[in-house]
Amino acid sequence: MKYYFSIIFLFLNIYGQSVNITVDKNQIIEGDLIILSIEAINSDNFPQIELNQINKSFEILSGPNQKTNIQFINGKLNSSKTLSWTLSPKQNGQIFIPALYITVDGKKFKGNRIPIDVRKSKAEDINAVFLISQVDKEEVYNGEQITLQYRLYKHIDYNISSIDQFHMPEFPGFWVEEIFNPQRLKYQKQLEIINGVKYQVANLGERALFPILSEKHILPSVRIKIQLEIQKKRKQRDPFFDPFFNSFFTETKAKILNSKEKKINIKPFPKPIPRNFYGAVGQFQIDAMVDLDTIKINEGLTYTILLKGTGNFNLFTLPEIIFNKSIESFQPKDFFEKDEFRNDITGIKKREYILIPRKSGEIKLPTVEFIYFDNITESWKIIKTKPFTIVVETDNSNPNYKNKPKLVNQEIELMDQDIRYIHTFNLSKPIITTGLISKIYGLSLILILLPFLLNRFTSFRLKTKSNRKIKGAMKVAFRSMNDKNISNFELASNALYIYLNAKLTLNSINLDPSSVKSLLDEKIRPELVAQIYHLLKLCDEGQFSTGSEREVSSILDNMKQAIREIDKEL
Amino acid sequence: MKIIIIFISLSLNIVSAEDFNKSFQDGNNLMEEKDFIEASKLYESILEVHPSNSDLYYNLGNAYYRSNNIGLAIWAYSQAISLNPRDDDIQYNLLLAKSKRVDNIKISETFVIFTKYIILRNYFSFNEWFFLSSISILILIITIILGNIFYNIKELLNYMVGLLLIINLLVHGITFDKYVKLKFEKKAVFIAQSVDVSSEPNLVDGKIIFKIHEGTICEILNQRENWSKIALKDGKIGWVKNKYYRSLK
Repeated sequence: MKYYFSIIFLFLNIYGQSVNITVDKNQIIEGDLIILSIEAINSDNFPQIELNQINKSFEILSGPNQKTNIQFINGKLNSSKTLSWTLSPKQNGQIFIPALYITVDGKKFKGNRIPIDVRKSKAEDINAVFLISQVDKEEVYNGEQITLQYRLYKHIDYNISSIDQFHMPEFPGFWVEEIFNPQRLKYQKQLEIINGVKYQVANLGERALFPILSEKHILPSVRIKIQLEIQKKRKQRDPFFDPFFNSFFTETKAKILNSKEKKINIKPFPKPIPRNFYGAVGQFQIDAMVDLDTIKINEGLTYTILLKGTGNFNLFTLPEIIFNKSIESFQPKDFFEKDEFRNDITGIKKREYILIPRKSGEIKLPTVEFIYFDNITESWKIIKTKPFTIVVETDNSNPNYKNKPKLVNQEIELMDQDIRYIHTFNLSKPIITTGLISKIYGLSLILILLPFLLNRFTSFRLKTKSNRKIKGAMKVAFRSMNDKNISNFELASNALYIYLNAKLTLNSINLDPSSVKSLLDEKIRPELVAQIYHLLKLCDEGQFSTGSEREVSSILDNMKQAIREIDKEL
Repeated sequence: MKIIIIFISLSLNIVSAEDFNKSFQDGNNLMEEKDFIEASKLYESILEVHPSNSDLYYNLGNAYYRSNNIGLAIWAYSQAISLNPRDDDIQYNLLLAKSKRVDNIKISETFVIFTKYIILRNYFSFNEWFFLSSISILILIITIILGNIFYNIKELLNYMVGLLLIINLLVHGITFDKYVKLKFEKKAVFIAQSVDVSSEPNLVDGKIIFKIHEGTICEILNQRENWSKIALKDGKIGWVKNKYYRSLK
């Protein structure tokens, strides 16, 4: 038998507008949900409301959901706009939905408070389905693992039709590692019997928790909403009973399941606490290895430290190693390989150093000491790696290290190594440029071609010597007339002789008027020959007698004119 | 008109040289103020205009070294040493930066004579070898000319010509070898801290075949889109993304 309560509050009915505040039931069992509805009738808009005031006693799980309803009754239009919320009571006993202030289309309404009676669950309800948080220990040392499991118990006669996504809460005061996170609800094959009742159990999630230094270590309460199918009671045996029809005889009920909050007690470590304790708690073994035991100088080797075991790997680091000054070490790299098949956090923590020896000889890699607290024997443990000796040989083959500053000698090692200072002087243009090189090549080319060119030039000059002499005969002759120390008659006759000598390429310059006449006969006009002969005779007379003085001023011009005319005809 | 153009271009050159020196000194001041990242940015900006100055590369290398970019420091020092191979500071800093590398690539031993030849070839920069070639050929030609002028020492000069011919062949040969290396051999320095080298130029089909670290020098054999085929000195070959290295010019 299902009870259904509806409380209707009529506030105002002016102009056909009213507001109803209703709940679907006002007597519920712990874990049940109620639906709060606010319906505005004949309004233009949805009602506006602030629900902060109900948060004290209720948790709003969903909403507001909106619904609009329009009806014609006897030709009259009625409409309603409804908002609804799903609420979960936060406490048992009689609690109240306080008086709510609602605004509809600008008008303000005030409702009455609604009493809700929340009864404690009956024994049969408790046994139907419940959620527990299960830990393997409740008193631990800081850094010791606690395995927490959220387990859903369900009576075998009930079914869960749906379950909300389960979200792990925050765990203040703990370092959390995920162990198991189910993708869907899955029950274990084995049933568990509690107080003689059989239950199916589902693991909702499992975490490894490591307490860290904090004031409180509390595993908070978690809640999850489920839809539980409940069989309707049948008074008599149904002749058509069949599991297929089960759905016709079941009803679904929303329930909120809560797990209880748990407090974890932290035990103090036994004293005295060792100085080099870095927070490791568990059971560990340490080992170290090198990839090479003989190496050349300036070559690299890998030194690896391995820490195997079970414990709080993420809450401590491996101790730093200080190497010999003759070894250069780079920033180490840390790795963690987790064993996925174990609930206790188990695996191998590795630290890899790349080391480059800068000095030849034997180098010892130091022993690594690691201190941890064994939570099983509840005692401090010290474990060590074995020491290694590396033989570093001198590298004679690498040309890069020859004739170079010796970086490995003692002085530099003592003074430490660093790059040299920047160049601060003004930048100058390079002296050797491609332009300069091109000029030198050009000069070389010119030099190699020079003898050949000179030879060609000289040959050419020699070849063209007579031609040049013929072409320049008149010029040479006229130039010879410029001498002021010689008489005009001599200058005039000499000029003609020089001209003829050059023009006719004569071997000798010993000419006289008769020889000139015979040379020029048949080469030029007879009148011109006679004129030349006359001029030469006049010159002879002028040189050796005094009868021709009146001709002295014009003889040079006359001779020049005669030479020009000969030149035209030759 | 021509004179005016020459004057303008010369004055522009002077201005740019002054700016160049000023920017360089600004970069040095940033180095003094320990602002290595800004200094490296400033030096890089100067390099875009003046890409052939060894001091600039050297200071850039120091800026990168100080800001813990060992790969870029090795790149800058390598550029500097190719321009000025006998500078003691550059040699020292390059050696020190290389010693900070993680990878140690073993080179197979070669003939001593070949090693000596490499040392000789790297003793001068390409420009210096080119200059030596031009000078040696000039001396050879002058000697030939003198041999044709001074007949009394012609025999001595003939020996000299023979010797100079051998020197010319050697110097020109090395210059040509250096030119070929500069022109056709593409080298690069890895600037990413750790690089996965793939067997193929994609990460879907290719397998990671080995890992190399910052500062390792490789040869670029081939390029395909964003990937390059690289070869290490020990013969290992694989593909890496272009963004992980910086080419040496």
